[in-house]
Amino acid sequence: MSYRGWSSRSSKSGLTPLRVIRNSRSRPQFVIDEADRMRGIHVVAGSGSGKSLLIGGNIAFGDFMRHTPQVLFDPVGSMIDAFLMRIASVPNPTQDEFCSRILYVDMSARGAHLVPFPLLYELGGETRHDVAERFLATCLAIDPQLQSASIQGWNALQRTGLPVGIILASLGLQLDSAMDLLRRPEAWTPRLNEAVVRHPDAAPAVAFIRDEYIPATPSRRAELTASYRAKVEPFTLDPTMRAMFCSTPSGVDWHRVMADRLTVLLDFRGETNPGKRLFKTRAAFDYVREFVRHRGPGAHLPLALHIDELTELTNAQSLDQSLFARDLDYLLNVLMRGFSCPVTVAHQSMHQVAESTQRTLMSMGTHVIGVTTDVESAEFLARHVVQFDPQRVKRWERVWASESKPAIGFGPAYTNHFVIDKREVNWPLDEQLYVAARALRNLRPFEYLIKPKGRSTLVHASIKRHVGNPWPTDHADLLTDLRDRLARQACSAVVQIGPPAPVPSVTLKDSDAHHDPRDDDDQLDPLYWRS
Amino acid sequence: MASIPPTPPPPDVPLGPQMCPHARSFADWCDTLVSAATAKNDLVSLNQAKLLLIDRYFMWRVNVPVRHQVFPRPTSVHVCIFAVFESAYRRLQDAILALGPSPLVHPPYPAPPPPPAPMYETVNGIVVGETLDKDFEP
Repeated sequence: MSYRGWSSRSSKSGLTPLRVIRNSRSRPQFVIDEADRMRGIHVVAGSGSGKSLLIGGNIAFGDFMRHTPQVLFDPVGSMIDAFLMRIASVPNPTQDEFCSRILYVDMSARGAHLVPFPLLYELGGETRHDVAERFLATCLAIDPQLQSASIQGWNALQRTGLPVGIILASLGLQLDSAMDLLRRPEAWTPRLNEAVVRHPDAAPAVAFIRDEYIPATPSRRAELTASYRAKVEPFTLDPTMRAMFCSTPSGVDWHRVMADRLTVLLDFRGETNPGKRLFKTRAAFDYVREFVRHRGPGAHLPLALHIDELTELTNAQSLDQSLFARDLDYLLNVLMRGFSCPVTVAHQSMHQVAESTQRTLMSMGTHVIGVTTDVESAEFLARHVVQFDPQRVKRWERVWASESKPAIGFGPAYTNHFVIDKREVNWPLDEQLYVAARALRNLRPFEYLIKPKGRSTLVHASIKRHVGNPWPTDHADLLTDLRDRLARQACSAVVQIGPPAPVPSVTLKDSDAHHDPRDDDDQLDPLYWRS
Repeated sequence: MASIPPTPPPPDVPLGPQMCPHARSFADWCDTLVSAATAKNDLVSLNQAKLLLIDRYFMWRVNVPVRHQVFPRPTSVHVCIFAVFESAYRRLQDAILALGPSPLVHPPYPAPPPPPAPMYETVNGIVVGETLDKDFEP
């Protein structure tokens, strides 16, 4: 496939090299090469500086043209719009081919189409414990206060959540069945036996329900499950959450994403509920991270990850916590570099994140800095990306000497002043910092100062000619139509939102061992999503 | 068409010693022009020569005395510039007709030259933007 000079020949890494036009009238293009991509791109620029256009229109579209599988996290939608604007600008036969490589996920699930993100999922080879622990880890990430609550906190959540999750995962069920298991554990006895038969490693979890939970008094049961109920109740009470997070199979099949080199657009703009938005953002992020981790280290085909508005991945409470910094550090310093997952991270100001997170972000390979109005942020960035020279000459001063002349004849004695040398005056580091910070604040929109990896000087670059024509904001209707089309394409079946189905009673037979209930149409949950 | 014989000159035009000095001078110039055009023997050169002949004739005409300006028919004692012009014009016209019929439509315009092929550069990475200054110093 070739479009306007984008070639389709594959490089040794399996990615398509780009062909960019270079003539005498155009300025040279600034390119971040493949090796530097693996060190990450950190974009920090204020609102209105065009960072979403930069990531969506240039970096993500460039990855798309290179046939790099990628995921775009966009809490506000502007990065995805910039990406789709580039797609919409392509002539139609090529546009259809491009659209077939895009998986658009409207995370608000407000439309008729919904892409499931089951919370109990298998990537292959992991234990039921691993499967069950993921949801609890997501809960901890969005609510780090759980760790400090000793009674109804993380310990209580794990004590109940792990056994319930293991049993549900063993039975091929999702979290919408958890409340039924906790309310009527006696009715689940046959299914508990089935879980052990299917997966013997579920026996300790079944033993907890059978030996501790069922004999307990109602008050003791409530005490045991209070924390966990609070976390899983949304999946029973909210039909949209249930449809999205309790339907199987997953709408984002990572093996297909990698094989077909898809671009996954995770669009959170429609989700206005802060709590749901935070959970969905974090759950999707964990979903991607788990897949990258599951692939293991090595020279895989890269899976690029672009995150706009990084701070949306966490809440205000956890900003100052080390948990988010630890997660980010793991993503950037372990997964990105060792697991072939080049990451692009964008946010508005350095002071949106805690000090530990700042250090992690500044350890990334390439820094792209746009205009900012935040003085402190500009000074912080200047201190980190500009190389100051203590010997930098500010001005030259003349060195004077004088010579006394005696009176000659009737004339008076006088002193003659003259220059004997010149002396350099160095620029104080504080002043250099001030000037550098002012340069960052005086940048124009769509202009960036780029600190490439391994270079001491900055590169001044502009994206205006790349992304300015046409502007995404001028074609809102066109983009809405394209998003609708992609959303329809992503779902081959409309998920029906309705009440949860009662758990069917089953009679365990020998032939049912290792039997997947998803294979039987009559046992399908009405929310079951079939591709 | 090339086999059509040239039109014989009119027998009553004795271009010889009867020519007046103006006509003789003009005839020398016309001979040079017609000889050069017929030697090239292509339509464009002949048409250009014909046009030049007409222009030069009228320029000559306004510069000769009045009695030479209106001397339509040659006589046995005076062959003037019009007779020379007519003779040269006929020779050029004969040469044009010998090449074939005049085209009735405009010849097709030549194809415009192809635009210069853009120069491509293959890069193994992501294009971020245009470089305005590669060594920016605040």
